[in-house]
This record gives sequence, structure tokens and C-alpha cells, in this order.
Amino acid sequence: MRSVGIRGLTAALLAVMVTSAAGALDLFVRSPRDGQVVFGEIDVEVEVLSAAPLVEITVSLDGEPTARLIAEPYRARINVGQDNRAHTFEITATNTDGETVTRRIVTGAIAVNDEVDLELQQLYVTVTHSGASVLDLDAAAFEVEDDNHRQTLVTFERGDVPLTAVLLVDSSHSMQGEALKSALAGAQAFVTSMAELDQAKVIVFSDRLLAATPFTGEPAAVSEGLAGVAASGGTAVHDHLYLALKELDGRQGRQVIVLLSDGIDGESVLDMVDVAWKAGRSPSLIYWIRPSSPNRTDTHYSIWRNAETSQRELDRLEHLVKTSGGRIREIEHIGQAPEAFREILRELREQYVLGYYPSLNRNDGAWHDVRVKVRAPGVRVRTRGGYVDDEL
Amino acid sequence: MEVDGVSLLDALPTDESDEMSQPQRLRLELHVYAMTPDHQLAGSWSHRIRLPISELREPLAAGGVRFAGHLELPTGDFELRLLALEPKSQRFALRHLDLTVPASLTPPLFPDADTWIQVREPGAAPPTGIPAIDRPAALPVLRAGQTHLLWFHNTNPEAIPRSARWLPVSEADAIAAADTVSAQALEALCELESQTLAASEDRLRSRTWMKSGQERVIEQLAATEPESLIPLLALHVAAHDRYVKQPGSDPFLPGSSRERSLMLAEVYTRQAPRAVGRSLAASALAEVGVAIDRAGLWIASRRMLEESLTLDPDQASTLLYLAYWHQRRAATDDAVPLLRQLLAVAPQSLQGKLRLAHGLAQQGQTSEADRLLRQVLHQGGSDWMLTIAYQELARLLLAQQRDDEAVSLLAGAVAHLPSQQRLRIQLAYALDRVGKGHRGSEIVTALPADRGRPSPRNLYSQRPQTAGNDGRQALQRRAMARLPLLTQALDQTKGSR
Repeated sequence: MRSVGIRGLTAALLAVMVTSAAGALDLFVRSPRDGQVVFGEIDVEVEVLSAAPLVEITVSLDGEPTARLIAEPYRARINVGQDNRAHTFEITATNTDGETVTRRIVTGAIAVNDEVDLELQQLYVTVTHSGASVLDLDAAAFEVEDDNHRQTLVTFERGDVPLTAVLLVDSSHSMQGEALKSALAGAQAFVTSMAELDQAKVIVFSDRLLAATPFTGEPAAVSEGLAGVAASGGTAVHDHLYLALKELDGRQGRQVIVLLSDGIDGESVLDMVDVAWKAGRSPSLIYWIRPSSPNRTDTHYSIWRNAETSQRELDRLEHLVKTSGGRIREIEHIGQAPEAFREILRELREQYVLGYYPSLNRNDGAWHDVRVKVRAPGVRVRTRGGYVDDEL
Repeated sequence: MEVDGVSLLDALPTDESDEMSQPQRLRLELHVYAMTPDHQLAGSWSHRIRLPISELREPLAAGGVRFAGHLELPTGDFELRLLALEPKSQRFALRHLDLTVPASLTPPLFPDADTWIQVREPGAAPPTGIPAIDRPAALPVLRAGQTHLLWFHNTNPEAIPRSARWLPVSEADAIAAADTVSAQALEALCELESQTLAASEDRLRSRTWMKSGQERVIEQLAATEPESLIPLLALHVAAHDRYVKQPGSDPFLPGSSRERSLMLAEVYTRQAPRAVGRSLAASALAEVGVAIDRAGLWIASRRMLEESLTLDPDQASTLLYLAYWHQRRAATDDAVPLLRQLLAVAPQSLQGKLRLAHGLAQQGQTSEADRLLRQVLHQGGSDWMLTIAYQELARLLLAQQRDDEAVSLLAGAVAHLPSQQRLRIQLAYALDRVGKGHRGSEIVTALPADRGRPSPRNLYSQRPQTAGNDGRQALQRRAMARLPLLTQALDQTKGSR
């Protein structure tokens, strides 16, 4: 452990420092600032000035111990939740001379005079021309209709909006050996290629949850979380797709699910209509990497679903993927999984993000059809087909 | 069980007034438990007896109480725990005894007790009317007092070198060597059939020889020795098992074994429709049916299972297996009547109730399905069956928009079976439906991974574990019932020499 020398601090920093009683230990909170409005995960970042080596820095949030920092950089990621309210941070530094100093930061809340129940609808739009992404459109090129009513765009972004993804890897018995290795390599390729603020969680499932990583941006954490997993058992796609949607509930940023599976569900307790119920209330984009199968046209059935129901469930899954704004990426063999994962990530980087407040917000649990038109010749547009407007 | 009389009398109260007011009785509780080596209870009985002391004091003091009970146990090792308790004084005696139920006393209709001994009444003549035939066949017959077990008739010089082949077993070894004898019989049959097929370059001709020869023997036995059809059936069942497992077997042989098994069962039923024999034949066919289902011969499997039920419609394990066979093919309408039949003969069958409820729910008969699922939950059972009962009941409730009831049910299920991942996922879904999504998120957050065991719904999709076991146990019990006759016959034969 080492102290930070005074020479390393700028004059501006010194100007706002508060000197401790002994004068040999001080700290400065770079983030968050007093009065700043904070939601979700934020970084708490601290600079320290100490003559003696530092022992620790503790961070409490609203009276609860939350983090302990013992080495540079003195930074911790803390989730403050989504409530619009002030939070109190107390940050205490202690050095080997027994000196301590505490700083208190009180964040702010958005002043609300009248609460309006309006849900910002965000649409993630992929625009292509002859298979290539079209990346030079501006807001004026887009026209959004919600239940056939034209909407006013209030936000427009292009390119790299941070994403939070769940990568669902079907690892039933048929994926034993090299197939599972390729599938996991695909998930790993996705995480490795993510941008700095992106996060992903990998879920490996069969008829049960076989392994899951935390949400992370670190490829090493994925390797560690999936070590030793082996393919076995049947398949429960619906249940784990629902789990992925649930994992993304309330998460910040663009929500994405990538499913790698043939989609044939043998043993789920939930039906696709249940998953669709949830997906209609979620902004998640669902992508489906589907290995081609020589038996694709075969009739599938299980003890739980007859052939007719199984086919209907597969059709519903296809429909769900398309309605979410994602797509089905066919691969000829499982060895192409890494490239498919990377391709999907590239596509996500090239999306437009349109935001609007629906003019006919009803909160009645009904489905709203959404259509996006682009004023450009020969382009293809893909985005979610609609949403359910009730609150979960 | 024998209990010493003096010590029993010591336990009696000495209060004279009590003796004057009412006849004095000695109460005694006797309990026996048979435990398997892995501490499972294999059988038990308990009896409470009352003895009038005024009448029996003297003989009791001179001897004691001797009680003969009956336990039906399968082949294997057991620890018998015997407890005698005098409830008034709470004095008791406990003894542990080791007991081995030998395999050699059970018939060979199942692979793990590969023995069958056919006994004639003392002095009965050896089989007559079995002429030498010109096609190979096997006829396993053990006569008490004789030194020969198997007769193979064959006059086709290309098939095996001799027209008759004898596998000797001495009288003294008859029971002890029964396992070996049966294995020898199987070996001999398989060798004979293989040699017969290989005897001619014209494979079709060889097969025809074998088929017609065996059929003739079966018909002849049916006329003269109908009871011997059962061990012969068992032999073909065992041969089928061997052919399926043995790489390189002539592909004709498993099918031939199945056909002979079916024919034997049909002929036996026609010629000697005794209840015990029909049941044995039915169990043997069910064994083959399950085995060939595992081998992927599904249509033949169904035929065997249906034939088995024709012979004995009350076989619970076969009813369950055939219902499963249909369920696996999503043929609910075929499975449901079988499951109703199963519950008629085995009203407590948990799998029967669970599978019937599932089938009824698929047919839209939700109220009966609801009732059966609640019975399963009330009756209790293994975790996987309870999990499915909870899941299916919750599905019914959710389908009827009874979301709050589903939440209550599933919350109780998660509390009862906290390690079942997908009960948690279903509860999260139900909570979403009632607007408590945040609570659902807490329930599925950090859902523990489970790499070790199949999920309940996967187990439900697998073949019933009990298939064949019930039949085996029933056969073993029936074999035990025949044991006194066998022992008597052997003793008398020995004594007559």
C-alpha cells in the first residue's frame, strides 16, 4: 500500500480539499458529487492524501457498509437502485498512524412537481441495404407509428449504446464434446468483443440450469464461471428464456438475449405463450442462433407436447424473436457459433436507438403495434413489432 | 419367535385385588422387521396377543410363547430385527439375526434370479410322447432323481454333431447348482441356434429349419408337457437378452427369440390356462417388451406388452409401462384408459395418478386432473413426483386465471422443495402475473446451478424405474409359494432311493 504524494495533485484539487485535524491525511471524493442525481450502478471514486501508508477506505451508502478499498485505484461500483431519491455516502480513510478522515456526500433527486405516467419507449432499429448496415441516417429519416399514430422522437442515438446481454447456451445431451466447446467459445467471443460498458451473463442450460456466470465484462470471469460444465440431459428452452428475461428486468441500457439452440423444447414447464407474455413487457431484443439440422423438417414430440403443439411452440419462438426486434441467425454447423455471436454483436453496435413517449399511453395491458419507416430507397428496417403497455 | 415363559410371568403385576377384579391377561407385542444391507425396510409384521394367565400359567412357566409369522422377502441378504414387548411393564427383548434368501429358489423368468426347477410328483413317469424330431430345438426339463437336465433333439447332422445332447447335473447338486444349470441351458440354446443358422450356406433354409423345428417342439410340448412351456419361454427371453447385448449375433436371432416367446405364451395360454402360469408368461412377455423397447424396437415392444396384458390384465407395472409407451409418443388418448385400469388394480400408484392427471389435463378434463394432483401431494412421494404434481397443478390454476392460488401453491412448493430450480422459475412467472415481479426477481436471482441430476420433468420422460420390478416381486412371491411342494418332492425322491 502506498500513499499519494502531494505533488501528484493538481492545484484545483488542492483548492477543494479539506484538511484533517492532524493535517497528514485527507481525501477527496471525485464521484459522486454533492447534489448529483444518481440511479443504478455508479462508480464511487476517491483520491487520498496521506503521509503514512493507507490502511483502508470504507464506503457506506445510506448507513449501510457497502465497499472496502485497500489499493489504488480507490474506486468501487455501487448500485444505488432506481428510486428517485437522495442518497448519503460516507467515505472514511484510515492510515497506519491511526488517523481517519470522513467525507459525506449527499446526492440529489429529480424535482417532481407532478408525476406523469409516461413510459419512454425505446426502439433499437437495424437498417440495411443489400445486406450491409446503413449507418449515416439522421433522426429526420425515421418515422415511428404506435398503433398507427405517428410519434414524435425525443431521443435519437446511433452506434454504440451500452448493452446488457444474457447469452443462453443450450447444452443438452446432443451437445456433448466438441459441440459444447464451440458453443461456449461463441459466448466467450461475444464477451471478449464487448465494449467497456457492456455486460453479459452466460447461462448454460439443458433440462436444468447447468452453469451461470454473473453479469460481467471480463472474459476471464466467463471462463471461470463455466469451467467444468458438461452437456447432459434434455432441453427446457422456454423456462430458461423466461429466466433470461427475468434476469434482465430492471437492468440499465440495451437489453439483449442471444439464444444458441435448435429451439426444440422437450421439458419446459412454461409454454411459449407464457414467455411471450413476459417478452411483450420487456424491451429485450432476442437473437436466436439456430444450428441447421438435417432433421429440421422432422416431426418433434415429447411426453409433454405432441407434434402439433411442438411445432406451434417452435413457430411461436420464431415469431417472438422477430417481434422483439432480433432475428434468427442460421448456422450450418456448431463450429460457426463464434462467428455468429460476433456478427450479432457487430449488428448491435450499428443500431439506431429511437425514443418516444407514446401519444396513446393507456396502461391497459394491451398490445401496441409499432412500425418504423425510413425515408431512404431500398433499405430494410428491423425493430420490435410492438409492446404491452402495462407496468410489471 | 420364542419368548421365555418365566420371564414373561415375572412381568405380571402381583396386585391380588387386580387379579380378583378381572381375569388376568398377559399382553405381548411381537414385531419383526427385515432390513436390507442399505437399511431399507424390506418387510415387517406386528402382532399383539393376549393370553389368559389363569388357564395358561402352568404351560407358560414350563415353556414359553412360540409365534410363527410370515414374511415375503425377495432374494438377498437381510437383517431380521425381532422385538418382544410386554406393554404394561415396558419390558422387552430385542434380537438381531442375519437371514439370506437364496436365489436358487426362484424361477428364471427374470435375469437377476436365473433359476427354474421343474419338479414332477414322486414316481411320475419321465416325459413321454416326445419323439425325436428333425429340427433343432431345446427342451429344458429337470426331473427330480434324474441326472440330466436338458434334452436337445436334432437329427440334422449339419446342425450339431449329435442328435441329442445331455447336460448333466447330479441330484445332490440340483438346487445348489441351479444357477449354473440355467446358465448352461442358456449357453446350450444359444450355441444350438447359432450352429443351426451356420449349418447351411442357404441362410433362408437354416432359418426355416430352426423356426419349424422349434414350433413343432412347442406344439408337442403343449400336448404332453404344457407346464414346461413356461421355463422354455424363460429360456427364450434370456436368449433374446443375450442376443441383443452380444455384438456380432446373427440379426435373425433376436427376432426369432421374440417370435418364439410370443408363440410360447400364446400356446401356453391356449393349452394350460392356469392363473399362475398365465401370470408368469405375462411377466416374461413384459420383460421382453421392456427390453426391446430399450433396444429401439418400439412397435414390437408394444405388441409384447399388449400380449402380456391379454394374458394377465392386472399387471400394474406392465400397465404403467404401456401407458408410458403411449405417453412418450404423445398418444394421450391411448394412455389414459391404461392408467385408469392401473389405478383400478393399484389405487395407490403415485405414478399412475400423476400420469393420469397429466393425460387428463391434456384432454381438458381439468377438474379430475386437479383432484388427482392434490391426491399425489397429499399422499407424498419422491421429490421429482411431488415437483411435477406442484408444477402441473400450478399450470392448471394459471390456465384458469387463478393466479393468486398458483402463487400460494408454488410458494409452498418452493418452501417444501427449495432445491427445485424450475419451481422457482414458475413461481417467478406467477408472481409476474400478479404484479409482483420484483419478488419474482429475488426468487430467481442467483439460482443455484445443478449439474448432478436430471430435472423432475426429465425423469418423468424416462422409462418408469419400476417396470418389471413389480412383476419380479410377484413372481418371487409365487415361487416362494411353490417352494414347499418342491422341497417335498425332492425329499421324497431322495428318500425313495
